[in-house]
Amino acid sequence: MLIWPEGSRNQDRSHALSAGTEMNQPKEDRMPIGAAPQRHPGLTLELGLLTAGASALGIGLSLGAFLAICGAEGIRTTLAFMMAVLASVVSALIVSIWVHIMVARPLREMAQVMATVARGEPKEVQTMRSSGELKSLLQTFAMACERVRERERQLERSRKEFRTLFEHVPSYIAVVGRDYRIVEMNRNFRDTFGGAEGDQCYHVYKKRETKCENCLVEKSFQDGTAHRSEELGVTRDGQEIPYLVYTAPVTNEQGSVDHVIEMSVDLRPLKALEHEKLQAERLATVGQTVAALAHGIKNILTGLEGGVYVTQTAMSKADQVLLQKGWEMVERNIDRISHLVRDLLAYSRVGVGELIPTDPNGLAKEVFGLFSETANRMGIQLILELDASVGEVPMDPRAVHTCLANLLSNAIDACAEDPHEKEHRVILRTRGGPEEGQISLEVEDNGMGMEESTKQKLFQRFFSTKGTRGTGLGLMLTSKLVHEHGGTISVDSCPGHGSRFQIILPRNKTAAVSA
Amino acid sequence: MKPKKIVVIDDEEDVVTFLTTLLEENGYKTCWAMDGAEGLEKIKKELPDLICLDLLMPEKTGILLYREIRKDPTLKNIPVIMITGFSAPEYPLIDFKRFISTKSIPPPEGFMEKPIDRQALLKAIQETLEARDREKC
Repeated sequence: MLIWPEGSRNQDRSHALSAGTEMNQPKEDRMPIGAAPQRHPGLTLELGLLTAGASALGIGLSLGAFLAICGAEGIRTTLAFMMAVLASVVSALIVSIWVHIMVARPLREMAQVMATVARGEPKEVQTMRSSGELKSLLQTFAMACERVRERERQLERSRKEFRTLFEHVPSYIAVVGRDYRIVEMNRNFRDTFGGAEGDQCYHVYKKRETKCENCLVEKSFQDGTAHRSEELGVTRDGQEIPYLVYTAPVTNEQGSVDHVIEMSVDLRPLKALEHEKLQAERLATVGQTVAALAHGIKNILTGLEGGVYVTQTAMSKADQVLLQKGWEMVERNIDRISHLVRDLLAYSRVGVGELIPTDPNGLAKEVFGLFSETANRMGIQLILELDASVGEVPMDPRAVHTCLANLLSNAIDACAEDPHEKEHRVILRTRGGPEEGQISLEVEDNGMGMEESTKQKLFQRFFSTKGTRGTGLGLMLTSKLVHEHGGTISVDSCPGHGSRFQIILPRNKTAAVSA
Repeated sequence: MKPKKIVVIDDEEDVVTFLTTLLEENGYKTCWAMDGAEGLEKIKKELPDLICLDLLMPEKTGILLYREIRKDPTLKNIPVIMITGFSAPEYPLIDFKRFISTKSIPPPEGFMEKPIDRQALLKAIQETLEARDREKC
């Protein structure tokens, strides 16, 4: 009867189990990269080897005891059996050692490398000691590790570049949360506006205690789109600073807006340039005005001198027809001088006067009355179309009177000079609109109309289509007065068919605006 | 002696009346036009001895008309006195001089500034016509 030591049988089973579990990579050991293994496979293998050695020793001791008990015949049979068992054990031992060298050790090293990589520490993967498929696996893993390291280096480079850009871009950048607190700001922003992360944007930008009206950050949070606006802020030194701000939403993985980024540009250099340009333009305008005035006055003087000469000649010859002609020349040129002086004075006046609630219909009637006789005499029908619902509008009545008179006078001239034979008419119209809060004053004629090139130059200084009769100031003055009311002036025209001038004034303009 | 014929071209009626009266009073025969296109027609029809031409006119300016006169073989020898409200060295005159020099157009025989000095104009006209007569002889 063969008696197996209880302990060695158990140890053998446990060895086989241990070896089997190692070879098959038990579920608890197949962990993702980054998770530290709970039980080391190499340690289990070594325990297996010790168990195998202990089993061989146990068998040897059992054999000695058995030989002492059994006879010679039984001994031979038993010895053969025992030798077979010993050979199996030695084979198992060799296989265990081979598995340990060829599989377990590289796996252990690989596990160590994986754990290191998982901790985010750079690690070179050694593949020299392995061979076959395992070596190939390790090489692939090494390549993957190298790629990860390369990506990390790229990421680090990008991060540094982004940080440099963020800090040194010649703009002010702040990232703002839903509570309007600044999460991050660049150096330019900090140097100009002061403040720190955690401060409210409105306090840092404008040194105010409450959120701005028409807050762009709020808008970007609400609609998830970019917004732009020109704002006036206060620097850390207390100076006012005009800036152009863009807000853009920053969304998270779910697509909802987490933060809003505010990018601003200092408008002070631009404003300074604009101011310089304006000054230069004003100087150029003075030069042009003087030159054009000199030209206009020379023409008038020529006409006056000519008138005087023709009158004198007519008197010396007692030529009544020529006398009439000469005297008309004198009168016409005196009239031109008074027009020029009047327009120049009106133009040079700074801004419109006080805006008072005025009935545009009353003004239109007044101007209509002034021109009706002239129009009748020239065979031009003058029509008044008034919208009784326009109501009172804040305006400088004298200035708007001048505008309407200029437009009406031009319309009558456009009809008088139209070579086409037709029933000429001029309409002076008031009406509400085109948008709510606006009124429209219109002068429409079916006179000669204008080419596009004439329309382009219409509101320029000293531009006139009337030759000697125009000062070239009327429409420019009209345009200036309308703009000072916060209004606009536009013209539609077609050569041979007529023109329509439209003045649009706001109803809510309460304060005079200086030019 | 047959009176010399002068065409006056100016868009200002008063200038036309003044110049035609002045020239007729001084023994010249005149005709006039108030724009460039009409002026060219009159010149071609009348073939005058001299032209008084305003530099700045709407539509066909005095500059363009002058160029056409100088390009036309039948008109190119008619002397021209340019009349302008701009005096040198203001831009339009400089532009005009540059224009005629780049186009290799000979300059006009005289420039008169507004307001017109009657004696100076009459003198310039007389001298120009005499010079032209000498050239013909």
